[in-house]
Amino acid sequence: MRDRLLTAVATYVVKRPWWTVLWILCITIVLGYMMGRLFQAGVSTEYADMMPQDDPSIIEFNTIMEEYNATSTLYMVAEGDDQALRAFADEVIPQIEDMEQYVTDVIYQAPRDFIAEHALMLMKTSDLENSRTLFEDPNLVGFLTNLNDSFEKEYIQSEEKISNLEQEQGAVRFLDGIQTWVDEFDNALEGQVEDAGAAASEAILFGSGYNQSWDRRMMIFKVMTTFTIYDLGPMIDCPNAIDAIILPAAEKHGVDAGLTGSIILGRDKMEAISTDMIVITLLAIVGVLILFMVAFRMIVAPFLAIITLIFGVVWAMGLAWPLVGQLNILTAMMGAMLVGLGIDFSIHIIAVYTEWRARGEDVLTAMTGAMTRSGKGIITGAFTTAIAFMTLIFGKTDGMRQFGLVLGVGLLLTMVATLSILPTLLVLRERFWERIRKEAKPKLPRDISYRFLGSSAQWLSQRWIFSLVAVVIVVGFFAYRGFQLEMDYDSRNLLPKGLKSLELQDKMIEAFDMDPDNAMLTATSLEEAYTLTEATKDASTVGVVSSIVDLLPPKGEQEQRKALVADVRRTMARAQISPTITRADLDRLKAEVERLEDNVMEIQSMAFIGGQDKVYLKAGLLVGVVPDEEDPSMVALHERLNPNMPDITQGTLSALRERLNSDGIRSLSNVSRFHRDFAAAFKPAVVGMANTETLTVESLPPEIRDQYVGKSGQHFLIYVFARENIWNRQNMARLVNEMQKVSPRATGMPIIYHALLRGITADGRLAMQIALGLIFLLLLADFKNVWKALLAIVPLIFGVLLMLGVMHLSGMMLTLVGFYAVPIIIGIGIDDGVHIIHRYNVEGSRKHTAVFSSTGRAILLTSLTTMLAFGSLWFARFSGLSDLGIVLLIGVGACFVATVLVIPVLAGLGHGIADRRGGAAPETSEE
Amino acid sequence: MKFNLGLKRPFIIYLAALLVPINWLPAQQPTGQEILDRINEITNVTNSSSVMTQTIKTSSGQLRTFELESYSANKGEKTLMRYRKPSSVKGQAFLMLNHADDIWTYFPRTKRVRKLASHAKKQSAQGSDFTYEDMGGGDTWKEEFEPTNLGEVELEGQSCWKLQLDGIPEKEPPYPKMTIIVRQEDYHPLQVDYYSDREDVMKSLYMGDIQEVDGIPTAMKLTMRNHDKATETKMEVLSITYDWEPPKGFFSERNLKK
Repeated sequence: MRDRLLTAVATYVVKRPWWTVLWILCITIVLGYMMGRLFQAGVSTEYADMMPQDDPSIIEFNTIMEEYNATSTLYMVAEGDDQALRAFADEVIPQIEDMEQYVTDVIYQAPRDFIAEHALMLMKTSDLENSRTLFEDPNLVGFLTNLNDSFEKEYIQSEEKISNLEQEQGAVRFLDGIQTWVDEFDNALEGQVEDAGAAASEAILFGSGYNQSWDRRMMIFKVMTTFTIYDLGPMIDCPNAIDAIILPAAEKHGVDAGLTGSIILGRDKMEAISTDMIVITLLAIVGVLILFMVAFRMIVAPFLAIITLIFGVVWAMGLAWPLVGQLNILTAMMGAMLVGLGIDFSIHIIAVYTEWRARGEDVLTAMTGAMTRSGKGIITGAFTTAIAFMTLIFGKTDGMRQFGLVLGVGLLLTMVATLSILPTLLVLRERFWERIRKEAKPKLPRDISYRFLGSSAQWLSQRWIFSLVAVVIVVGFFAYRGFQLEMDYDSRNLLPKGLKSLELQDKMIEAFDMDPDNAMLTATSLEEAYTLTEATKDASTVGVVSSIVDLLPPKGEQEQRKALVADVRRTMARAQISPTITRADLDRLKAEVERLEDNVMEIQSMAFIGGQDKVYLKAGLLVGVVPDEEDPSMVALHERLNPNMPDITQGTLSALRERLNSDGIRSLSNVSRFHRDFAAAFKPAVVGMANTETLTVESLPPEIRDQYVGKSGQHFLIYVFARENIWNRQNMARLVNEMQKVSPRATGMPIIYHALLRGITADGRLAMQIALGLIFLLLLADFKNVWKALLAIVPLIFGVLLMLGVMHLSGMMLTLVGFYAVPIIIGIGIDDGVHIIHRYNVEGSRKHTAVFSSTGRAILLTSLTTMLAFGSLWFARFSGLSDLGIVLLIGVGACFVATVLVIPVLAGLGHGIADRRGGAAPETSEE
Repeated sequence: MKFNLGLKRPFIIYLAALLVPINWLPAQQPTGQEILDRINEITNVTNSSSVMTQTIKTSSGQLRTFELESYSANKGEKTLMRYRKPSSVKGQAFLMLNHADDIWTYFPRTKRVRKLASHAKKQSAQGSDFTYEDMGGGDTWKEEFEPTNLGEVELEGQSCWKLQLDGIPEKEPPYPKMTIIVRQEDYHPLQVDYYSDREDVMKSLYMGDIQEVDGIPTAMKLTMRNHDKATETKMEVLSITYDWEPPKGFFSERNLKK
């Protein structure tokens, strides 16, 4: 049937080429329009899009996207000198806040007004009891005495205070307040008394005003957006608009600033993929064209093959639009992949057509011969490959399903394009030459066969015992190494290389211990939010939990605190502010400053022993460090202080103590002024904070509600930041495990990515099993012989094992994207065997030289073109695709090597067995 | 008439069995209590003086190694640890009395001695994966746990006993359950698994490079691995002696400052 169909197509094309052209153009116009629509839809770069939409983590993720206003966040990161950073922030924040189309809010500090009114109600009862003396005396000496008492009491009461990440951050923030207090006091002693006392009070009670790193050389700002990661347009336009504001301002103030976070990484991925999609496809086309020309020593035919391919790719992309609607990270590269796969069809047709024309056959005969001899192999090969791809449809991850569907259908369309367009073009070329060179003798194509492939196949077949042992040993070795291949779980390794957003993200993680790729939990009531928050904080993998609970304590606890808060309010309201500082007060002040220095030193020592580097360094800014030139790790640690401290042994608090001692009585006037201003600001601020009003969801400021409370007011969001780098496989698995124990509704990037990895791994295995089964059945139907079907499939299995072994030997790991290479290789690798077995059918089972000289050449060239096309992915900016290209390059090469080594050996084995059994008389050997 | 003992096998086989030397028979399995007593004898030596290194992972992900001297008396009831390296904490010392119920620390930079809260006993000791309680020694295991011998196991090619310690709730044990694998050869523990409330192994202590010191088998390398946090603390004994008598007043606040 296939013969009849192929003969009919060949005849129709040769006799009515212009009608064929008309049909082709009509189809191309329709599918070209559909391809345009596909491009308009853009490329989705979200991993969530690749997951099954009915997965609990995706359902929850999508619910969060709809329910909460502020789940999509950009992070603006700026580095530089403290003063320059503040000037930069003051300039850009109002401008970004004005971008109402994209931005709901810019968050760069805790909600000051809310804290000013409710701070004491937000403190844990035990903390409030421990530190209430801090809020009893607004006078400078009294405050400092109470601060030291509180410090020592706190320290004695709970050594655990700085024992984990959240507490480490709290300690750094507290020390930061002390640092500002010291700086302002020093300014006052310097004579710059204006506002110094008030600023010192503000720093102690509210912090520095910005979200800064421990050394104040980095600031981060959260830009809450009006759109989600699914809105591709704003995802590009908004960051670009913000960049237009911050980049000139950064240059003006001498700071380095940029954007990061999931949205920015998504934008960068999309831009890289959009460029890659075009560049890589063109690179593949040009590379394949050059190889074709060199291998066939032809000029026009390769161009015709490429034109055919371009039509095929347009058809495939056009049909992809109704099938998937939008391309993803992987399907975006279907153009380059179809070039690599589709060119093979043309090679087989041109190879036979040129052979027959070289023998002097006319166009119709040669075309019919090419179509029937190569066509069957092409159809079988295309279907086996397409089946291998389409088995991915049985997977659970949408990414795998879409990839399989689009590539499988696309390949079949490319085959149809090749069987219809290429013969048409070849015929038109003949007619064209006939018209312009009527007088000249037409130049007939040359026959080019690779005898070395045929000879080596013959040699292997004759020495099959030795060859079989050698092949088993080699493949066994590679298989052993291949099974040790590990998965790379770090999704950041898939991103384009050299991204500034990624560099900023890494710096942000280091400076703030905060990875924007956080997990999320939702609660359907405040009570559940409290329970989940507590359970999450107990999890060993969790560093920081950000929850409504921090700003909205349970009512019972609020009631408990009210009496204490009211007491603090009464005490502070009654407190008298001394109008001046006496000499005796000054002596007490000096003693308390010295005591404060001791306290900070002790905290520093405990932090050092406890491995809390940021607390150690932050304390170092205040009290200096003990230098250690012998220990390189200590030298490296202390070097981090250099940008802030000319002398690392002398901190600002130590300098203040010395200054107070050396200035003596001369400083009394400035100290008095500082004292009055401090007390005058501190007293009303504390009274304001000691507000016993019961806190409710309604009393929260809008920017807080947007972050934590759903639009309905009935859902509450909890953000969970991991303690360790989640892109480490074990860390990610442990975090996901713990989060899912806390709540089966846990979601967020780590959860989704982990599920995606598991899904893809499971899908890949399932697809591999189904594909191998279906391919074997298809081969059985095609060859009607079990031995031949096995002969065709074994090189594929050996090729995959070789590929995995080579990957392990070269130090590669299997990435999420690289995993897609396995079904692709199964689809492609089978073709080599199919073509060889088909040729054996035509030539005879012992004609190794003839088969491998001719078809061996064809599969060498098809392998090389496929390797070239896939290898062009190597140049992709998107590292995941680059890795995929390398894996495919190795895989296709391995399948070719396995085919030319294994089939002759197995054929020799088959003959050897048949000969010993005294079966059918052996066919005549060629040599 | 045949002499019939009612036996189906030849009498000689039973006779041979009776003649087998007693030491050819399998060793009698010790009870859990007996194993625990033997462990206590080895690990709770009266006095010791040692120099060791301790390596922890800092919050920045760097490894930090300390060198410290450690003194223990009265079967671990009193312990004094003093840092020697690096310079930042040289001279800082911890004094633990009453099996770590009372802990003081001395800061050489401020020359002050401070007392840690009593609940610090259950907390991480100096940023490590050990708690002060883990270091406290004494008869805690005997007093707060019920031992059961789970039978013979093999670890690193050595025949061992596996002992399970179930916490006695009213004694408020530090862990609800522990398992200890001890060498049959000398009853020195090779591995201790500490269980969390969830019945999962929370952390494990691995002891290696066991050498005979003053006639007592001593692990020169200890690794505490916290499985929940994926962290570990390594301790290596550089020198140790059990032939040491603390001078009078050695375990005192005054000596802490020296």
